[in-house]
Amino acid sequence: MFKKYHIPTESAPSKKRIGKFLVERDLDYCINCGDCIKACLYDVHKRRQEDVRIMAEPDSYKCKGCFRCVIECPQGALSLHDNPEFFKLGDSYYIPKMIKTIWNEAENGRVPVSGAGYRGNFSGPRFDGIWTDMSEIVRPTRDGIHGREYISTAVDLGRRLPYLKFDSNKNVEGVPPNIEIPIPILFNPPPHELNDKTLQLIVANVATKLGTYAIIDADDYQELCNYNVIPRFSSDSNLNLELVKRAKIVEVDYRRNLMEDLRLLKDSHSDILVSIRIALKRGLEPLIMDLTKRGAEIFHLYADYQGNEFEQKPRFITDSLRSVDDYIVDYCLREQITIIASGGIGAAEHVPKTIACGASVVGIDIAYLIALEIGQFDTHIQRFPPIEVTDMDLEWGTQRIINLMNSWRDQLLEVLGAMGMREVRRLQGETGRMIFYVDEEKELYDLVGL
Amino acid sequence: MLKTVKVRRAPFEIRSISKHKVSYTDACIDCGLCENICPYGVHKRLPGHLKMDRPNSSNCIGPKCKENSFYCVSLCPYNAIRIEPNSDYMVLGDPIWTPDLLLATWYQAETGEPPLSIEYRIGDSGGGFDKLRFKFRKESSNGTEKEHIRTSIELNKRSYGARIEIPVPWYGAGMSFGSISLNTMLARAKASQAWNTFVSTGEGGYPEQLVPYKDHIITQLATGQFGVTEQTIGYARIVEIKYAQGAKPGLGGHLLADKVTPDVAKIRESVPWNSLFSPFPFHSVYSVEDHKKHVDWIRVMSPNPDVLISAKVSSPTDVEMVAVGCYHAGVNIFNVDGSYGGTGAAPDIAKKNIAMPIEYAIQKVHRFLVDEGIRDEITFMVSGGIRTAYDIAKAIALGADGVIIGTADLVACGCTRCGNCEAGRGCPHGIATTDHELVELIQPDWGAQRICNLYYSWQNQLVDILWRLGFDDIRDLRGAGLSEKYEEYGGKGVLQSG
Repeated sequence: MFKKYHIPTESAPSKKRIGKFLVERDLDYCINCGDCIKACLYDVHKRRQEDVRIMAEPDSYKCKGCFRCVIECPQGALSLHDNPEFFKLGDSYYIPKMIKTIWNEAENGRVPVSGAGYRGNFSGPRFDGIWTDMSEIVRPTRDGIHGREYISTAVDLGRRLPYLKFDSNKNVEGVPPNIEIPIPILFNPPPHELNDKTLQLIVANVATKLGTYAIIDADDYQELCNYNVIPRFSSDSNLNLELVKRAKIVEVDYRRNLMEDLRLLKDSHSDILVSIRIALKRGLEPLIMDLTKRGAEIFHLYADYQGNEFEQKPRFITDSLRSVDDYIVDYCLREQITIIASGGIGAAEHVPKTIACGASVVGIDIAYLIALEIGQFDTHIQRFPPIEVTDMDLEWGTQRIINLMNSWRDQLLEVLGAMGMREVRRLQGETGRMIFYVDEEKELYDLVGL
Repeated sequence: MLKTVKVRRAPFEIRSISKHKVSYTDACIDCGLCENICPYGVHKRLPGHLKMDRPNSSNCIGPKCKENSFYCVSLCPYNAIRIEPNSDYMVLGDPIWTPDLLLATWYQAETGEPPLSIEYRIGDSGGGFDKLRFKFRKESSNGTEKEHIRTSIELNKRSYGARIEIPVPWYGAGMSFGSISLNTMLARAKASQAWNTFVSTGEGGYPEQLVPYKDHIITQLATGQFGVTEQTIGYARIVEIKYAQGAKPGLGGHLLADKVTPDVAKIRESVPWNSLFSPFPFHSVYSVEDHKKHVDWIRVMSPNPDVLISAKVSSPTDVEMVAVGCYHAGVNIFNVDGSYGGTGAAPDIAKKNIAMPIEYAIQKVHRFLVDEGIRDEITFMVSGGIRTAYDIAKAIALGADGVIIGTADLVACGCTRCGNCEAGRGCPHGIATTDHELVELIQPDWGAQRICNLYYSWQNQLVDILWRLGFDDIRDLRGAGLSEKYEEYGGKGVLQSG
């Protein structure tokens, strides 16, 4: 029987209440006529509770920037300003607009919907230079809004067989261990500065409730072993085989004698999956190829928090992944391995775009921290002000991230639906269904002339 | 040029947002000198008043007035006048519809001519139309008088169907009753009638108040088929089949429950306060042959044997193939709606990410149709992000026959593009709403006049662009931006990257 995957959302209101606008009332001009109360559809203007003859300070957080009160005020006493607090949010990569979007998604779990057309730059660097395709007429299983329930966002972690082999009893033989997760998103550990027990608990809790996994430091595994977590052994730590006995997946940083370590792991726990964590750099392709041929099953290719390679002149994660993907596809081995990609995934649209550029699954980090209302940070200089996560309401935090994931999943469905795709597995490496700014500009200006 | 449309001033009732803020300090002694020197009417004293009235900042051309001999700030004997950037202006708009473009559109809608000191030609999105410039020639034109420059286009180039020519290369995009108010629909219909062009109903029924304008109304047919009847198809000289919409390509329409008022529900034959889906796609159309069957049905059903059929699609990677498919299905007008087009409500992810902007799609379709040898048999209209007369000219120079206008009409009526059309009672400015109180904010005649004024200004600008490029007919501009043509521009087209 078909069971629909469902993420339970619930309102988890903002605690910081930072809006984009500031409504200013010039008390020299205001005659307290109250026309603004009638004009405003969003409850920004009210009279003072203690003295109804006087207008109260506008509740700018509710303002949607429509200008109606500004236009209708008979005295011209109202004006709109950009909220400086809003523009202080985030950094050059996680821009205020992105943070605000995540906050809204985390608050109500819905797909952000608005009227009027697109209101950003024509194109932009990184993810903003990619558009996804749509399919004009039909493909099988297309049914707009109603067919969306049948689109699958599940992906597999583990090695896949190139073809099936059957034994004498007609059973498939040699099927490697494999785990299916219902959304193509894993949780990366937060930056060290912020690592904290409550935060870990929130993330582990979310991962478990969603049926996906959170990657945590192996040292913390003991306490969280009942959750869906992936203990990670950093390159300087030894594999503690006893510790991870109950784990289904472990992550091991790329290191010398890696394959020997893996063999040890596999010998002691035959069903365990091992993800090899490798920092994205130029020229990784032969290494990944080699490891694949020697039986590696999952690669976690991570970029920095802004999605850049660890290089002097880094490429962006999408370009980096495309080149890895192309390379392995040429050897016809891409379908056999899983690639987790992380770094810089900060909006719903980044998920399908990263997958289309070659990832099987994405890992998120800063995005869920933002959902917990971390607003002022700088991923470029790795500055993360300490946050009082310990005081954070565990339930509130869990719900915020769950809401965010529901919103992102629904938006993934929108994108897949528009492309006429039935499952996210098919999107992997489909650059032919992406529209790249660089290519389109070249085509246009070759014709128009520069 | 069309001379029948008259420009009448149609200002906002109370005030509009200005770029600069003019104010008097306490030092002002109300001498009234500024009133006498300012030619723009910023400073005023009401008859019988001692004090100066609040300055009318909207008319001020800002600090660049410094070069003039009548700059009030330096002439004020008490140094009491301040001109500062207005904070509202800084908050207004976005890179696509910049604050300048909004103000300029409002100004044109009020006066029928482009503003003096506000950018009215391009936006600030950093790409597409905002990056293309015309290579105007230094000495202008081939001697054609501006009066003889033609801006009309044919909507039908096939051997069958009515010959319809519109005097300007644009008509109005589909915006349904429900997504916009009846008053706004009427304003657009009246403007279309005045300009002898068209406006589409969108997919939300055909309110009977629109019937008097039926010769200028396109009936839209989409999957929800709301309010589509033999009768409403019969009214139309053009029927538009909407396969997809640029702002939400491949997602279908969705009218949120809050906007399904009893009136909307009645005309759409549905239940009030229940959201309405117009799901993607047409399950009756799985192939070009199915598409043709659709087109033929409409032709058979319509009492008007000469009815023109338009197909509206979005801009996927294979948009040129879709164009050829539409040609073979027998449509007269092929309309590509680019991804940055307008909507009453759409997921933000779709508006930003799905399908390509119209600027890329136009030349692909145009060249493919040329290569197929069918370019002159189909009218290619584009929509989705056409904001100004310059955008219109650029779209045509890239290969379109004409354009379809949506958002700009609404901006003319006072839209600030705040994007809250879908929330609660709908548009705070009474445009995209069906709330009984709010709809009264737009009066059809006033709205129609403002749209007419905007069109008037645009037509003059188009004539000017053609004149400066040396064309005497807008039909010659089609595709002239591409380098395959026009050697007099140095082997390149009339466009360049700016």
